[in-house]
Amino acid sequence: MSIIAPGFNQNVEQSQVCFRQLLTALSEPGTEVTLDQHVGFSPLNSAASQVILCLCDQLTPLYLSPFLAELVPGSDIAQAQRNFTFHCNTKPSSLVNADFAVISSQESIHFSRLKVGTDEQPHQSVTLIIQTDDFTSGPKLTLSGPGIPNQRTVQLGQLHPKILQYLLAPSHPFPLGVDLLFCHQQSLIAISRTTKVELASCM
Amino acid sequence: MTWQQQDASYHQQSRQHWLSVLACAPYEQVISHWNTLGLDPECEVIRQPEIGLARIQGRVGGTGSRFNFADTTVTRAAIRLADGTTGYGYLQGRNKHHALLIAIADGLLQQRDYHDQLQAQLVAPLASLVKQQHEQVAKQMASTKVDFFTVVRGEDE
Repeated sequence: MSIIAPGFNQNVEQSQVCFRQLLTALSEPGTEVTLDQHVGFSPLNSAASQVILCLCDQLTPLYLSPFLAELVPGSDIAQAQRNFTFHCNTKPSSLVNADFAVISSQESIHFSRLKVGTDEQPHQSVTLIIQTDDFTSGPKLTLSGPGIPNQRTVQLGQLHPKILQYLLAPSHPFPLGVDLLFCHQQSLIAISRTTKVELASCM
Repeated sequence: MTWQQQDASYHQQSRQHWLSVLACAPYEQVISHWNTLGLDPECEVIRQPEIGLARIQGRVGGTGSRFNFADTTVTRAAIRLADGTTGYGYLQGRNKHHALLIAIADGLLQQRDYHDQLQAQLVAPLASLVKQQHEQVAKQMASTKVDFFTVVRGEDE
């Protein structure tokens, strides 16, 4: 039986709060922000769900990876998809056509098949939401670029080699590319396509 | 199998009927009938009442091709009762309380325990009220109807 869970209690105000946090996250890549307006639709975590509730609408093809449901016992990816359809009117889509996609950090994906925009319209690319286990383990990454004074160091949990490889060497030349939002529970760290990512030297 | 599924099309028609009646009846009437029922079911609001716009289309004489006629405000809400039944409320206008009340009544009307009581004490009296109002408007309109005709001017002869 399909169970629709409640969305935001105060749709406008809570979306605005989330939007402000996302703006901070994306304009200052590597900064950890907190999204605490909604508990999330399992198997998606709270932060990932709020990104979609806040940003997606009837024009947004949305992909939710079935792999996520395997990590959370008893959850159903189709159920989460139905909830987003109910609350935001999003359309379920394949990964290749998605404007927003949620995947797990343990998952292998082909970045070359994602939507990356065109030279005329680079904004028509996918925003990839990656659910990760924590921000305290995994390889130490040094970030630099717009929005980052000098350098910033982050850890994004254990990442699949393909994701790590894309972070270190994006296969698409700027302004094309994919913006990444790493989500863990209520926390979010964004890596925009302008950010240069390097492995921090081991000391 | 629930009793709703036993006769899906009948249920759909009857649900459309009560949703229409509840949405068309004036809020004061709906709330006063509702209050006499003394019901206060436990429910969770899954979509807070929200106001939006809907485009109205019209047909000349009810038979012509469709054209965009106007925009109107629409309010909607959705609730879930303790047993998981979802109720929806849609209405023209901006009365959020009304939309929420329709949603709750819709949820209860889908339940066997409450269906008959609500039909008899809420939907039926409101339906006759709405019908009365429609008839009154139709009567007023009918009295202003003008038949257009052209007097033969003899040019065709």
